[in-house]
Amino acid sequence: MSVHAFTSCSYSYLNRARVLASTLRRQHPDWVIWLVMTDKEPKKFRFDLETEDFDRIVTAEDLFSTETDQWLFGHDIVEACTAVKGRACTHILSDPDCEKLVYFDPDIAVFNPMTEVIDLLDDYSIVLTPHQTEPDAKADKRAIRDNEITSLDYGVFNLGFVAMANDDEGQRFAQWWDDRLHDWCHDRLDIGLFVDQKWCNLVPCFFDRVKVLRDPGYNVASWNLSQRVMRYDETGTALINDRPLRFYHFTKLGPVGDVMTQRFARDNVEIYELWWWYRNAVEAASTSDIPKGWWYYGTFSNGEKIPKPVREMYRARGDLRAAFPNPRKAGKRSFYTWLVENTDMISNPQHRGFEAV
Amino acid sequence: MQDLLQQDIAAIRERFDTAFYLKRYPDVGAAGIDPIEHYCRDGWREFRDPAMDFSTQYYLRANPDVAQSGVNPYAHFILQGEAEGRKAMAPLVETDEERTARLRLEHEKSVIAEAFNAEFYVQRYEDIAQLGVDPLDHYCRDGWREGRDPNDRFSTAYYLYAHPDVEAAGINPFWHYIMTGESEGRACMPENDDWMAIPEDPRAAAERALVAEHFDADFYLLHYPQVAEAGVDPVDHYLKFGAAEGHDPSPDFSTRYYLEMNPDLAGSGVNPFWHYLSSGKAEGRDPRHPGGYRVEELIALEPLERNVKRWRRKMAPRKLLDGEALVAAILGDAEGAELIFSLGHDQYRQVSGGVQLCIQREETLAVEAGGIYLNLHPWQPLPRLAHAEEDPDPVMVLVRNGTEIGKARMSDLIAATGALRTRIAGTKVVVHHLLGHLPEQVAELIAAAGERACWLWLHDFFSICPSYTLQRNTVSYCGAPDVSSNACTLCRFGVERAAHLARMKRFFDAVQVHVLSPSEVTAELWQARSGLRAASLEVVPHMALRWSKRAEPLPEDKTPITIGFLGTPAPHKGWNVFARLVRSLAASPTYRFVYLGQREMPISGVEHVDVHVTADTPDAMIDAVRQAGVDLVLHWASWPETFSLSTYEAFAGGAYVLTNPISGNVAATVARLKRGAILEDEAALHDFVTGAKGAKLVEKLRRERAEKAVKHTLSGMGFEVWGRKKKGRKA
Repeated sequence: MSVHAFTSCSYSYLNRARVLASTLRRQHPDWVIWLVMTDKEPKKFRFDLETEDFDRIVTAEDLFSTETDQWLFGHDIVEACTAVKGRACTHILSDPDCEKLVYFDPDIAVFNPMTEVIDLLDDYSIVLTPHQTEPDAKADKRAIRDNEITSLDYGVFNLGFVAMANDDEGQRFAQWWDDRLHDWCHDRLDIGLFVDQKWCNLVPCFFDRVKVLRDPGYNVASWNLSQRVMRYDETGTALINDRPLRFYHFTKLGPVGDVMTQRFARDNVEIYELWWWYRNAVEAASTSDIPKGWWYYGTFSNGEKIPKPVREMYRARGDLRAAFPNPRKAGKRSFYTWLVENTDMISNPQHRGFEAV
Repeated sequence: MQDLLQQDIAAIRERFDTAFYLKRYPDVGAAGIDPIEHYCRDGWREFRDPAMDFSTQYYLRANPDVAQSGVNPYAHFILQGEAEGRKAMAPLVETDEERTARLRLEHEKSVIAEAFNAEFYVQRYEDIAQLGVDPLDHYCRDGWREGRDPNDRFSTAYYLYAHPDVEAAGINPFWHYIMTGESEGRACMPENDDWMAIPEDPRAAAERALVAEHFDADFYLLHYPQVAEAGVDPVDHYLKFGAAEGHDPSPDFSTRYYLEMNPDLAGSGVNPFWHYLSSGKAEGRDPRHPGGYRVEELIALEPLERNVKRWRRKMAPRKLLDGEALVAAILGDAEGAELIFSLGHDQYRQVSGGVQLCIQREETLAVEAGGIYLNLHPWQPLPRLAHAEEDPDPVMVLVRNGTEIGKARMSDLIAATGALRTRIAGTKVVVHHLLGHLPEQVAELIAAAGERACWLWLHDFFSICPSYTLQRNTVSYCGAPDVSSNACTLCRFGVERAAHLARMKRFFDAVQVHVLSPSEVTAELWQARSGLRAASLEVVPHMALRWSKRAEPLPEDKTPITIGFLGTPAPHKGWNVFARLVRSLAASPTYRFVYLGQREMPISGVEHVDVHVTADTPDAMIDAVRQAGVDLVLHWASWPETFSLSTYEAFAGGAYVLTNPISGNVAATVARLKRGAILEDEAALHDFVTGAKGAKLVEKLRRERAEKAVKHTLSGMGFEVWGRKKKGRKA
């Protein structure tokens, strides 16, 4: 029996996922690392498991079989890559070799052994990390807004990480999560949903043996930097509030992430060094054979981008799903042609008039 | 820079139309450059478009604030401009208003074209030259609104000031002057600068007063010499033009950073520095990057191998010496003399620095002793050891007794060394630095000379890490932890260090390396952290100090306490700490601040004494410290200095030294001599200087200085140990 781990992404994020896999491999050479790929390779690129730090790859098609195309059509890229996480959990837990399972977002990198979490799974079935583990100061309104209120909006636990034991409760959680994500993994803050994450507010209500891990060394990110300080000890171990840094969540690589980091890291130079390392590691893991912004499921078969409102309408209307079971396909009597003839959603993709619940 | 580029790339990646770009600009595809990178680096400056639906040229024209800020226009549009309702392209159908504006602009341009001096305009305003826009067009659209002048005989700002009717009309003042103003006899140049100093309305006066209170005029004039040349008041210049041009009003405030982080200010016409002082500060907005200079350096830091690539020389070396010619060049007319190979990393006679002075000193002593002093340094400089996979046989530049005699491949030098064995008295190999060298070949050179040993100086910690001052990512002292630690694996030098250490170990195994350390503290750190087995380890300080009683005591010194900074005024040398101390104490008559060195020194409240230390004037700094009457020298190091010549120069000049705990031999020397103070952090430094302890220390120093003189003697470098039996301890 082994510990299994997985991440989920499209090929555009393979560079980040590779950084995750190599850092995780360094800490845990014996783990079985899976890549859950909700995408198909672009023309010039071939994914070769032999040269990767992943042990196995499983695609959305492997997990969702014939309904894949139709089901994914109702999701944008973020929704899609998170919606498959529940099914990936049940799939991997069904492997008799899997004793414990850990999920990481692709934009995470692991810096010290995860042994404590794995040991926790002897006593607990589910381990979750909250966005914040300490309240912000009353006077720091900006931090409260950026961190705590955002947590209330988007979910109190960060689902960039979840660990589960392959026991009854762990399996029950995975099955429930898969059920919900299959139908409701949408970015719809207006109705209280945020993809796979907001659902997990309910985990402590529905399941036993849930561990809320509040060690500051886990899931360090801009949303909790206001309460965490990084330094190195004399042996060169990275510490967060004097605990070893287990993994950092490099959310929003780019200007937006930089602004949030500055806002809360202040003069904690070690955090900026970490980002410097990550930026270069991702660049080194990138390949020009994957076109920028590539996502196979992002376009109709004629190459045109599928607008988000089209996805929303399709997933809301059973009649359309029945009439066009193969919605990506363009051509005569296709959904695409129907859209062009009956709506302005293709000619005016910015139009967002459709808001069905 | 690289980081900014990456940010731009990340911002536009989703929307950049690669296919469009490659089709529109075939030269990019032909050159094999990544189109996004091309656009971010050069393309937008050449007005190329990133997608069918975005016009770079239109956006920059329509948004002068963006053009002046120097940010990537497409990134600006995506991150900010679009949400602000800015347009990506000129509307396809011109509105009446737009048509009127266009015709008006064409008319204005035709009227002023003759009197407009484009050459003057681009010379005076460097940003215009950089933007590559048509100067006349720029003046008519934006330039006059920004107070720029169309030629050297017309002052836009003055004309608007002197003729409020023109200002109220909101029209191009130069156009007005040519059309009617000139014939009406209106003045277009001020007789003096008085008009600029008197603000017109109380709000502007209050704004100016607040800005002036926190404005560092000396800093401004030193950084923007054109302001001094124009003879304009610096505060007025900043308020009228400087802020828009991205100038900084003081070293503590970055105009560009503030505008970048507070996009709500862009285009609002509010002066960013005034905004910060009047409200931003209270709202918790940052005046500069909160990470300070170290993060600013980190942003510009490139990965090590990219650095190597950039350093790589484009041309192949020419006229290499080999065979008999090489032997003859080395030997000269010194048949039978001793040959000293000195391995360094640069042309020590042209580059100034402590290591270079040491090599010069050793060279002088060797030549005096009748030997041949042959310095080898790599023709291809590198920020790490050479890699055999890139060049198995690097070219060395040969400096013989101070004169460059040519270049040769290391293998040819090894062969020549073998051939020389019978024609010289003996050979010594002294390693001052291995940057850019192949240690494997250095071992071969030593063997070819028939020797088994060499001497290696610990000028820094290159034998422990390619980051030779032990700075993680060049910004934080790391103490050289294990190569598998987080600190190393997350460091710019981590990957290289793993191989580096293995190669150093093989070198130390192959050769008997006698390690020479300029200080005890360095020897200890090296022994603790290197894991290398030296044949011997000996401490040989570069300078010795001796205090002796004066025949006649000096008169009592009642001048203000003089605090000095020696050498390069760079942040990693502690210059920022010194500058902050100056700013907080400059107003007090108790203190006087001096800077001794050869760089431009952009700070007010400090006297500058120009000092150049060379082999011919080795005591220049010591003399300057003495003449300037420096009491305390601030030496705030960011790494454990192995010797710190400037610390010794401070003592030799009659001063004491203030330093921080990680400064290596600086702190060790201060502690050993009990002359100075080691202070935990900047707050402690400030408290010490302003408190009773500081005053007491200066009192003690002045008493001692009155009674005793300091004598210094330079070391004999390697000759200190070669002339006698070895007494170095086994390492």
